[in-house]
Amino acid sequence: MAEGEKNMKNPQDPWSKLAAAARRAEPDLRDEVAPYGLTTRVLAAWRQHAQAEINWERFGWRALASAFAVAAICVMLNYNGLKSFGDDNLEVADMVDTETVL
Amino acid sequence: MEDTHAEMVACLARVRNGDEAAARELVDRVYPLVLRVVRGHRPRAVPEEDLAQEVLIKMFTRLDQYRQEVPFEHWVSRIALTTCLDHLRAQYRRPEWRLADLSEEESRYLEECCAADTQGEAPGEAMAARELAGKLLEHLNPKDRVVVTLLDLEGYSVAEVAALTGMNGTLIKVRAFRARRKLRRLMEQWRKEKKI
Repeated sequence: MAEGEKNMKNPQDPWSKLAAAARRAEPDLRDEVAPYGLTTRVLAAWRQHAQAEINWERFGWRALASAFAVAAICVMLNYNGLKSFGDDNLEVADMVDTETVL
Repeated sequence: MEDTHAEMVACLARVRNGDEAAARELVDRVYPLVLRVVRGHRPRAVPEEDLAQEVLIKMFTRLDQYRQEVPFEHWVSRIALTTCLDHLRAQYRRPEWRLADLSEEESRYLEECCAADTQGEAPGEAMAARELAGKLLEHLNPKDRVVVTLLDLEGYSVAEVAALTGMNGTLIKVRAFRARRKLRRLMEQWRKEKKI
């Protein structure tokens, strides 16, 4: 309480007087025990939030696994094409080298 | 004090392991603290129980973020304060209180405070003073309101307010100075309007 008074310089200042009087008001101590049902509601909301997080995590992992599987299937289906693409590039590179030498 | 801290740490560990009894115990431990912060800073339109519930839910959902760098009570107070601040911001955008709503006792108290040589110490008037202060504070922007409430009505030091709000000391002093100046002007203005 003393600290609050220290913060205000002039005791004749209207706000200082009002604040000093307000500080003398009895603190509101009614119902300091959690009302019936509040704890249950809080814990239910917490569980729901935790479950939602788990669901998102699961969804994330599943999406990652699916994306990886689709990528693997695409590579398998196009393996020959990709391989020949590499060979073609080598052939082109050889041709370019030969032309440069000539 | 040490024992209480050790009990709290043990309780938190059990809560993190999903112990429901420990979670209930935690609510019982922090509820009075949450209620005190909520009562000091809540906007009029929001019921204190709803606000306390919101704070407790936030506390549980952010429990993994608590690193034990500050006492748990400080951490919870900060959550409570920022939650109140969010609601105060919403209320500040649509204020619903008018000068005409001052009660007879509050008007008389306002007159007494503005008079030059009274002390405003009459017993039983403290509640009226508190109500009047609350109504005046509603006209400040939410951050200024929280700072002035903590410093002038709840008696916290600048360092304590800094720890609770995350603002730096200089900013707190500047905010408090400006807010008090605005409050004085407002009191004078209301007194004149009431006289008319």
